[in-house]
Amino acid sequence: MNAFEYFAPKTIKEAVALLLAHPNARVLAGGTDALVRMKGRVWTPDALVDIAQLPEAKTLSFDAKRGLTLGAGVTMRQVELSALMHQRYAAVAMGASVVGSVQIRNLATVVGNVCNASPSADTAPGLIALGAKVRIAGPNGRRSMLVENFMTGPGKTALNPGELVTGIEIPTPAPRTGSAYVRHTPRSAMDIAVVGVAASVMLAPRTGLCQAVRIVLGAVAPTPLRARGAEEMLVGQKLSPDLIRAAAERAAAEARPISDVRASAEFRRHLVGVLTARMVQAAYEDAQQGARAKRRAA
Amino acid sequence: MAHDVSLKSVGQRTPKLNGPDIVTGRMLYADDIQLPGMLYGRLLRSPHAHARILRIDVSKARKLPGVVDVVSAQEVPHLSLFAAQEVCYEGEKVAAVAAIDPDIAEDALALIRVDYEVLPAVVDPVAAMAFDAPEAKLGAPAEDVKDETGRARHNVASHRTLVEGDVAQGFAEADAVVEYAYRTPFWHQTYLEPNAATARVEPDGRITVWTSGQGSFNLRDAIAGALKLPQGRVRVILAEMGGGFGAKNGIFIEAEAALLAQRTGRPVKVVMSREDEFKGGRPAPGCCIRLKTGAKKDGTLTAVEGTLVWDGGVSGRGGGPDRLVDMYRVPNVKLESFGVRTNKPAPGAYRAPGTAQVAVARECNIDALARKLGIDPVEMRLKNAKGAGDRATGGAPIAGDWIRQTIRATAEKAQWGKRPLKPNQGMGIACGEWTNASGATNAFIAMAGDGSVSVLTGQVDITGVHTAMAQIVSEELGVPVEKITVRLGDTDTVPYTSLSAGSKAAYSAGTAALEAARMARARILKLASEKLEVPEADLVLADEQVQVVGAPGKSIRLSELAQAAIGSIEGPISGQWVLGRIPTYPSYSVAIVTVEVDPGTGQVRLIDLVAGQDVGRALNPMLVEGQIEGGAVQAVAYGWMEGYSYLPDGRVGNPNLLDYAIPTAMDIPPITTVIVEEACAHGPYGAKGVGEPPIIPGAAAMANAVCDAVGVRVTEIPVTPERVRRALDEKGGRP
Repeated sequence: MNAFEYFAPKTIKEAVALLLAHPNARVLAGGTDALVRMKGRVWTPDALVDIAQLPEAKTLSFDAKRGLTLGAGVTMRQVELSALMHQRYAAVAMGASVVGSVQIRNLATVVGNVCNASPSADTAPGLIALGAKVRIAGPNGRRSMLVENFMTGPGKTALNPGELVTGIEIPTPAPRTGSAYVRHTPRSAMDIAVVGVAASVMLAPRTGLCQAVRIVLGAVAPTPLRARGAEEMLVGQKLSPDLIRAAAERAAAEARPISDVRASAEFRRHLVGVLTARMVQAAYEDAQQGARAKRRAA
Repeated sequence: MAHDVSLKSVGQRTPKLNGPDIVTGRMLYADDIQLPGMLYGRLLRSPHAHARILRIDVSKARKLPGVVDVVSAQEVPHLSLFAAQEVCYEGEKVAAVAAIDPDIAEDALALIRVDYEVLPAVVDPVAAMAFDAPEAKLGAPAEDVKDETGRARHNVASHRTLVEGDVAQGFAEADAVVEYAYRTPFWHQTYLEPNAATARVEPDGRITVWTSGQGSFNLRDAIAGALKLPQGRVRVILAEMGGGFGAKNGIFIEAEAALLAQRTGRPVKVVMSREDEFKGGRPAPGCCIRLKTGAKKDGTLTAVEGTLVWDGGVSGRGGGPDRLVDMYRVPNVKLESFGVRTNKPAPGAYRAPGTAQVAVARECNIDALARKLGIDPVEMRLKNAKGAGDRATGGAPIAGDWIRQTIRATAEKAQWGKRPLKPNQGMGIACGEWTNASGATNAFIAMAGDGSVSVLTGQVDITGVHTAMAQIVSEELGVPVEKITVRLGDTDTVPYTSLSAGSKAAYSAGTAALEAARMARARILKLASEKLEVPEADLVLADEQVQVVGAPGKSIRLSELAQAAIGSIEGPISGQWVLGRIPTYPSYSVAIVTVEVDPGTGQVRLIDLVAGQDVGRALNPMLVEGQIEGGAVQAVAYGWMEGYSYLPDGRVGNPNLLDYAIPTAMDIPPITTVIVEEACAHGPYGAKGVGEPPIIPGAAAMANAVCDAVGVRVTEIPVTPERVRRALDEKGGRP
């Protein structure tokens, strides 16, 4: 590891100034990606700007009107242990729950997962499926953008010099919305997705037809990939097992996997089909349950 | 057995003596050694699987501030530590650097310029044997073996055949015949502790090396040999070992550390990274086996015929053919085995070397035959197992019905045939045989004036051997284990001791401890007899005192005797025993696994693991269970997810613990162990070696269980989801 300076700014403004002053700086959140790369000399930053100390970095709050807000320091473990997350944002909670080990989840952050922009990031498919946005602060002020557009390639994001992600917001899901995420890995912990699939399903009131659906595939393209063709097949339809299977096959065709030491492209494509069918079904059931719970409450 | 019922210490579940230090992080390992003025050594390793070295230029590296030494074959042409003209595997050592800190050493590596001419790499051992295959090591000696068309096979480093009876006749008698081609990959021991060594040149010019290993004398002799020094000029001191499993039988970076220390005059530490371990380690060889097995309607095996191609890395070393028959009676055998050179590191030992690979073929074929004949796989094995009076592979006598006992006990515990299984669940069984080694070892016992005991031995403690020795000494001397200290001597302080390997340690060093303790015991009784004026035959040594039989109250404390002995004519109470070989016996292991297969993804989940073993006598059941559990997990991992994956150009595709998958605690269900005890005639208290047998059958059992669950036989291990899916596709299974 090279020598580097460590900064723990107290304000976002200060953080932005530090990033501008140190063009080779890296932002540090949980450090579970950054430190591994620094030890392996993949990254050789001259400064680390620790954003986990910023005010409200640990905030995980929900408001029916504004939706969910996740600070940049919110850990995977916080999300994993949040009943609210499992209830309303199940796909994100499921993604956060499978990262690494408990020790890693105690450090790793959701924002870090998104900024690391790995095609196999476990929280990204769920975030995209639920329409999440990243909040960005930089020299030119604040902006926000969809997570879906934020990750631009392996390890690449839409951040400009001096910018950092201060948090994530996810809109309040409509009633009768369900979501789910699953990944395939050789072992059940300490692993990285060979394929990850998230789905969200929103059912129309009364008819129970699929009003909106998102299917997001991880680790089968340079960035998490929306299977839009498969989504289109389901919108406005009654979600029957046959239709779900057909849409899953479409999703498999839409995937753009590569072959590597972990799996062949062919097998990844196969997995996309199998896991998409399962996730659409799971999201559908979650949505129905949500609707039933609503009825019971009423 | 003289000691059977009255044992107090032996047979107890005594916790490993240094266990608390290990689990709380207090234990010091080789990497914890810090010496004043110490430099950090790093090795430059080949980035190519096969290449000619055209030029090495170390001048830039040498100029980097903080670099103290850079050495390659050019600087030490008389030694063969570094590749000089040719590199034959990715990770082969090319040069070494010593610098004042590890980062500078790392930077210096990047400044060493090596010009390579990349040569074709030989990756697949079967393809390596083709008459037109490139040589894995240019000009290496090869066996003169011809292929079917009469052309010379290439890269064959060893060739063996095993013929008994008449296989044509045997297959003619068979009612069912199965034939499969199996593949097992290179397999790393994945010990927790990467290798670390620190060397220092002493004022008298001798070299001291602190390192981690399974035998200080083997390492000393290897370091001396590598540096062309007399053995007496090198001293090896071993730290507690963080896992070796056979890999640490030899040196890795010790000689380079010593060379750098010699050249710089300063202590030098060299530590391997995990990537170095995968690329420059000493993994177990892979093997490609074509095996044909025949049996009669009643399950009796009639013939075995096959070919083994061992992927022997750059050395071409591999196992032999014998274990394709192993623990079963087979009248007609024809086997041919090749040890083939490939552009991979020279393989080394891994727990019962060469058996797990072969067991995959042997045990899967038996399973397939059982299915074909409609015979229960357990019954099939019971039917063909060798028994009392037979001889094990290698010739050791089978003195009891050990195989059947172990199979039956394990099957019963696993509820074989009785366990309710859900759809896509299946059970698989496999067995293994191993005859433990024996070898040079020793024990030196000294009693302090207060009756506490210290034991010195050259035997490295790899799995609680020192705890077992303490229990044995405790048993013989009537001293509680807490008052006994066992210390590892180094190459300057104890006689030559052979490796803690081959399931030898507790067997041989336990015997040395027993004999040394009996010597001390004899001295104690003699002293007591003199003090109490009672014949020795009437004395009992127990509970830290010597008592007179039938005379309650008439006794003398051990501490009193020990104190008196110090000033006596014969001197303090002590005992010592040095031994070479003792007769050894085979022991048997059985794995029964229950799995559930996800037919969609091909994912295999292990839901139950029962591992049985006949151990002679369990000196410490808790440590024996630990051995069985650890071996059983390594075995199922090999069958399930583990193994080297080589790229077409011969580089390692998965040189890290992410892509080289070994199971985590989350993957392994609670393990049930079954200890079968029938004391053997030698070995302390009838114990047999226990370390190696548990690793043999698990991989085969996994493959058999998957077949039971979804009806497809995956013949290439590990049985990955992708291979399961492909097999289901070929069978026309639903997605």
